[in-house]
Amino acid sequence: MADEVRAKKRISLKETFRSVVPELNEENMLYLQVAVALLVGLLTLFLLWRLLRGTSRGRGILLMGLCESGKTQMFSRLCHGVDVVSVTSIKESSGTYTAGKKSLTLYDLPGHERIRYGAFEKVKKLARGIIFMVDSGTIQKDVRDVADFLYTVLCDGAVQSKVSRVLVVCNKQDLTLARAAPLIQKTLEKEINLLRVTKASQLQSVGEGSNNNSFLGKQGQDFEFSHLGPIKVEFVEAVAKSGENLSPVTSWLQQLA
Amino acid sequence: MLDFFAVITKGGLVLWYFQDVAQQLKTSIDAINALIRNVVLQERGGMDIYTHGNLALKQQLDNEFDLLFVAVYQNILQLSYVDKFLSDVQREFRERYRDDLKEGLYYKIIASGDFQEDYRRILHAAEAQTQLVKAEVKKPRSFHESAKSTKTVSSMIVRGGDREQQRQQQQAAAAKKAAKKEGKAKRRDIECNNNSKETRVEELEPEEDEEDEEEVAETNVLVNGGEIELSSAIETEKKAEDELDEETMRRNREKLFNKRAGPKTPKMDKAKSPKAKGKKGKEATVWDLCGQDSKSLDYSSKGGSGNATQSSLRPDFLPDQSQIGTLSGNLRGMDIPAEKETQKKSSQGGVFSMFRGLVGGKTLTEADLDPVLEKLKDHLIGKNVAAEIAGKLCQSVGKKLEGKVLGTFEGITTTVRNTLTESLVQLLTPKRRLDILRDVVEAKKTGRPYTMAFCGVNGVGKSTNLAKITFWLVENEFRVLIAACDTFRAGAVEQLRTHMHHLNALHPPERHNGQVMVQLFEQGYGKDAAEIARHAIDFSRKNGFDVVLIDTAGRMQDNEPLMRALAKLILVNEPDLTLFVGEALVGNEAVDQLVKFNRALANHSTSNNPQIIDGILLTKFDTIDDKVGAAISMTYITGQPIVFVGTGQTYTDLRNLDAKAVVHALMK
Repeated sequence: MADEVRAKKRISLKETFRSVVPELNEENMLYLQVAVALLVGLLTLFLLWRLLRGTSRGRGILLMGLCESGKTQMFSRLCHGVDVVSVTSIKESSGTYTAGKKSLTLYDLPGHERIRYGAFEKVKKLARGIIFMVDSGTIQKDVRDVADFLYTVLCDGAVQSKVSRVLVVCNKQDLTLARAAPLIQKTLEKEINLLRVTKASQLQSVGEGSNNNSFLGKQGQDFEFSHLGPIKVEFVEAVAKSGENLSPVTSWLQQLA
Repeated sequence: MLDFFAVITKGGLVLWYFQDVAQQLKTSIDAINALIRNVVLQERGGMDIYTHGNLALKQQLDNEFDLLFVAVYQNILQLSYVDKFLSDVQREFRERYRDDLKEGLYYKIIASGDFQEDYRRILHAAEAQTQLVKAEVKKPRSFHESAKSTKTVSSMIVRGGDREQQRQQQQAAAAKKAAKKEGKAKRRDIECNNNSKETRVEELEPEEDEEDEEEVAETNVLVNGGEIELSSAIETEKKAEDELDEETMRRNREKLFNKRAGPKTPKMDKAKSPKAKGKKGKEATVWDLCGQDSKSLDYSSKGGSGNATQSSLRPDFLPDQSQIGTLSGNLRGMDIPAEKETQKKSSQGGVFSMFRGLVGGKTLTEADLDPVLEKLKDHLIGKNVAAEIAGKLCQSVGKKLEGKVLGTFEGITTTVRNTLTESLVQLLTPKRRLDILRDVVEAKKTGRPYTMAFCGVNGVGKSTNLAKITFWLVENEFRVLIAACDTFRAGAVEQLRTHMHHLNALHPPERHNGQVMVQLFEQGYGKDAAEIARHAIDFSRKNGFDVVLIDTAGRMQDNEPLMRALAKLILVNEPDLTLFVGEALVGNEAVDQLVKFNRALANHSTSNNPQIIDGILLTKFDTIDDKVGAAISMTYITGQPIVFVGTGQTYTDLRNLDAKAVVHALMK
C-alpha cells in the first residue's frame, strides 16, 4: 500500500513539473546549460578584470628628486606632521597620507644616483602620481642633473601608462636665493628640449636592453610641459621645513585622492 | 670624547642623536652623508674607519631592523672603545624600542627621544673601563709578576752559545705571561669587585706556571725557526733538543744565504760595466735604404699628406660605406649570450634545501653566511673579478646580511645571491649623470672645446676606440680634433692620420656645409705631449672645433717618468673627461693598473684638488664571453662609471654599459 502511494506521488510530482515547464525537453536543456556556462565564464572574466584593474590603478604617490632636495622632510611632514633631522636615504620608505575619507600611500625614494632607479623600479607599478622635489636654491647649478632625472622618469613606460599627474615642488622657497616656480619651469623646459636631442643619439647599450627613447612632447616644436598629453605637470612653490608652506602640495594630494 | 652619535634608519631618518656642544649639527650630518655615499653605497662595508675632514666615523649596521649606528669623533683621538660601545648601544636601543621597531613606528621613537640617559650610562661605563685598563697597564709589576720569580735554578744554568737567545726568549715569555696575568687579574677584578687581587693571583700561580712553560716552548720555536708555526704538540721534555736542531738549521741557512749573496753583487757590477763601455763607442748606424733617402719615407710631415691620403684610401682598406649614419640613431644591441639561467643551486641537494627552507625564519649569522659567501667569491673570481675585490665585495655583502631574519621560504643561498646581485647592479650604476653629448653642447655654449684624454697601458686599444668615439661624435654633428700626443711609438701618428682620412671619407665636408669634420693635430715625434695637447686645444678654439680627443702613449703603470709626464699632461690641460682605457681581459692586474694610475695623477699634481681618472673605457668586450669581471674590478677601485664599451673592430662597435646585462652574465 505504502509503496504504491509513494510511486504515485513521485509520478505526480514529475507530471506537475512537466506541466509547469512544458518546454523543458532535452533540446532546451542543452541551451540552458550553454547559457549558464557562458554566464559563469563572463562573470569570472569580469571579476578578474576588476581585480587586475584594482591593483593596476595604484594608490601610490612617489616622492622623487635629487639628493638633499627635501624628500624625507616632505614625507615626514605630510605623513606624520613632524620635522625630522635626515641623512641620505639608503632604502625607500612608505607611509599613509589621509585626505578626508580616502588615503594615499606615499613612497619616499632615495635620491642617490646609484640606487634611485632600483627603488623606482620596485614601486613604479603602484604609482598614481609623482611629486618631484626640486631645490630652488641650487637649481641653477644642478639643472642638468634635475632635468636628466625628470626626463628619465617621464620617459618611463610605466609612468606614461599609469601616472596621470606630476607635481614639481620647488622646495626651499625660504632661502634668499631661491628661484620662483615659473622660472624653474622655463629652465627645465629649455634643458629637456636639449636633452631630447642628446638622449636620442646616445649609444646603444651592451646587451639586449632596449634604449628608452620615447620622444617627449611634440615633434618640431620646442618642448613644453603642456605638450605631454596624458601626463599633467604642475609647478608649485613650497617650504617643507616646519610645514611653513605646504598647502599647494596638500591640495594637490586631495584632488588626486 | 664622542662628538656625535646617531641612530639612523635606512630610510634616512635620524631616530635619535647625541651632540657634543662643540660640534655643529650640520658638520656631523654632512660627515654622515659622506659616509653613506662613499661607504655604504659603494659596497665598502668591510672598511673599518671612514675619515671625513678631521672627523673619524664608525658605523654599525643592524640588518634586522634596518638601522645604522654611527659614531663621530675627532680623527686625532684614538678611541679604543668605540667598537664595543657601538654594539652596546645597538643592543640597548633594540631592547628598549623592540616593539616600535618591529611595527616600524619610527616617528614614535623620534617623539619620545628618551634614550639620552641610557646612552650616557653606556658611555660612562665604556669610558670608565678604558680608564681602568689604562691605569692597570701603567702600574709597576710586583715581584710575583716579574720574570725573575719564574726562574728556577736549573733555568739559570745556560749552555754557553745559547745564552743570548735564551735571554731573549725568556724576556718574551715573561712579557707575554705578565700581560696575560694582568688581563686575567683585571677580568677577575671586574667580575668580583674584589680588592684582594694580590692573594688571588698567588693562589692561581701553580696552574699558570704550567701554561707558562708551554708558552716558553712555543716561543722558542717561533724565535728559532723564524717561521710562524703553532705546533702545540711540542712537549716540554724535547725542548732542549729542538732548540739545538733549530739553532743549527738557522746557522746553516744563514751561511747559505751569505754564500749566495756574496758573489752576486760583483756579478751585477760586471754585467753593467761592459754595457756602459759599449755605449760609448757606438756610432750611428746608417741603414741601406734601397736607394731612397729617409725624407721620401717620412710620411709624418704635413707636406706629404696628399701622398698619404692616396695611400691610405686604397680601395681594399676603404671603410664600409654602409656604416654611415648608423651611430646617430639606434643600433642593434650586442647580444650577451642570454641563455636561460642554469642556476647551480646549492649543492646540498634539492630535498634537503627544501627542508631547510621550511625551517626558515631564523636570523642569519656569520657562520651561516661564510660557506655561501666563500662559494660566491670563488664564482666571482672564476668570472675574472680580481681576487682582492671579490673578497671585499663578499665581505660587504656579509655585513649587509648579518642579523637579517629570513622569511619562511627563503634559502640562505638564494638570499645571499640576490643581495650580491643587487649590490653589483648598484655598483655598476654610475654615480653621476653620464651624458657626454649634453656636456659637449654645454662646452660649446661657453665657447671652448670639450676635451677628453685617453690613458692606459700599452695595447689596450686607446687609438682604436678614440677613432670609434670620433665617429660617434661626428655622426652627431660635432667637429672633432684629434691631438696626436703619442710621440713615442712608431707609426702612432700615421695610424691616427689613416683614421682621420677614413672618417672624412665617410663624412665628407660636402655633407656638413663644407666643414671638415675630423682633423688631426700633430707635431711629429719626440716632443712633449703636454705641449702638443695645449697647442691642440688652442688650435681648436681658434678653428671652431667642438671636441678635442687627446691620444696619449701607452705606458706601464710602474714607469715613473712616463707617469709623471701623463700627470703633467692632465694638470696642464685639465681635460673635461679623463678616460682610463682598460681591456676586459685583465684580471688581478686591473687593481694594480688603476690604483697606480690614480695615484700618479694625484701625487704628481700640484693642485689641492687633483684631477684623477673620472671615467673608464672598457675595450675588447667581445672577446670575453661571460667573463665580465673586469668591469666590476675597475668600477670598484675607482668608483667611476664605465662610460663606453668597445665591442669590436669597426667604427660602429661602441656601446654603453648595461649594468643589468653585465651582472646577469656575471652571476650566471
